[in-house]
Parts: sequence; C-alpha cells; structure tokens
Amino acid sequence: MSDHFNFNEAFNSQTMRGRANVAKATWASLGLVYVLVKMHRRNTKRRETKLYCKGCQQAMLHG
Amino acid sequence: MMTNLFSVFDPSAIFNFSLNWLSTFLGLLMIPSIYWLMPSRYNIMWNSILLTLHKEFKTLLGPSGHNGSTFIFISLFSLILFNNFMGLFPYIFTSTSHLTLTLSLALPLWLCFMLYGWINHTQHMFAHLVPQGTPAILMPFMVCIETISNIIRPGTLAVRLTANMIAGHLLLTLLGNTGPSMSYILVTFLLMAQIALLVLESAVAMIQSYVFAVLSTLYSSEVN
Repeated sequence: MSDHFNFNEAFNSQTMRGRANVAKATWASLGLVYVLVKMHRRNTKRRETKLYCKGCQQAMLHG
Repeated sequence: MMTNLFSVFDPSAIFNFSLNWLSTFLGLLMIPSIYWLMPSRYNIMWNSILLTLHKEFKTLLGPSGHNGSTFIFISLFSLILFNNFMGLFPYIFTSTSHLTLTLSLALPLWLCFMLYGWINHTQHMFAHLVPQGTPAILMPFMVCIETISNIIRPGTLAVRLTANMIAGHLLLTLLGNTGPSMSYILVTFLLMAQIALLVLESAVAMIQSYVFAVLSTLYSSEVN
C-alpha cells in the first residue's frame, strides 16, 4: 500500500470502503453546512438586536 | 345512513370498549383445526402456500439470513391476509384499514432492523447508501435520496396497506349506497359490478399482504 493518499481509492462507488466513505463524507458535509447556517443566522440576529436596541441608538446619537 | 364517507371505518363499539379491535385476532380461531388428526384439504393448501412463501423468503434473505427468520415474515403475511380478507365480509371490522395497526406493525420492525444494522454492521449500512456503480457526480445526491427513502420506509409500508384497504372499501360502500335509488334493471348491473369489485378486492387483500411481507423481508436482508 502506498503512503500517499489516493482519492479514487478512498471514495468510489465500487468497493465497500469507497461507498461507505462517500456516504460518511456526504453526511458530514450536510452536518457542517447545517451548523454553519445556524451559526450565521444566530450571529446576524445578535448583531441586529445590538444595532437597533434603544440604549445603543441613543449612544450613537450623542456620541 | 352514512354521516361521513369514512364513517364505515369508525372503530366504534358498545359500552365504551373498543372490542372491535379484537377482530384482529379472529385468525387465531383457525389454528386449532391444524391439530386435528386428519388434515383437511384446506390445511394442506394452506401448508403448501406457507412452504412456497418460506422458500421465497429464504431466497430473498440470502445466505446471510439466520435459520428460521422467515417465520416472522410468514406470520406477518398470515396476520395481514386474515385481516384483509375478513374485512371484506359484512359487519366485520377491518383493522388493517387503520394506520394504528399497520404502523404498529411496520415501525417496530423497521426500528429493529435499523438498530441491528447500525450497531452491528455500520460500514455495511453506510455502503448501502451508495448503490454500486453510481457515477461520481451523482453519489452525494444518491446518499441523500437513499437516506430519505430509508427513513420513510415504515410510513410507506403502513400507508400502502392502509390506502389500498380504504380505497376498496370506499368504492364498495359508495357503489352500494346508490342501490336504493336505482331501478331493478340497474340494480342487476350494480350487483354484477359489486361482485366484480369484491373479487378484485380479494385479490388486493392477498397481494397487499404479500407485498408487506416481501418488502419487510427485503429490508431485513439489507441490514445483514
């Protein structure tokens, strides 16, 4: 077995290992996208509440 | 008079007890005749049906299937067949036309297969999400599709049986209710149509129980 990582050997639709790896990678990617979207939305919401809160607006107006 | 199109399926019984659900177990009354000294032709016919099913399920399960695992599917087939068939007789409650029963059969079965598969054959279960020979570009989509199809399996299994049973009974009831307002000549045709429909429904009763059992067998063979 070679020391270098062979992508086609690890991810393919012929061998049991290759198929399982594809499924694991897809699930992991979907999970990652879900977490990133969730984090992005939470951050946006937090930024908006901070921007439009009464105290913050007054602070912005009066320097 | 029918108050509702679906009132024929209402699980109502006297004294606030839903005793009509007990009709599910009426098939058990057929068992004692098996122990009679001289088996009748019905017993022999039934045995040959079960033997054929046993052989078929054994083929479907493959060499990795455990000995005797076909019995659970044969029992499932018998239970559903009895219930579907008895439901075609007047005044007998059809329990298989309710999701309560079909989902109670399909969901635990699927859950057991999933638990067994993911605990004991994790790599195999992952590999099953990508069909062999899928083009590289389609592989991620296939994983999503296979995952969704795997999750909705108990639902489809239960809804298929229930919908088929409801459709047949509804058709028979709707046609039957037009009878009183018809002329004698038309009633003759109605009767013939009803008999033809009843024959069709008998076939559906057998086919659907077979489909349920075969699909359960296939799902079980996938986790081995």
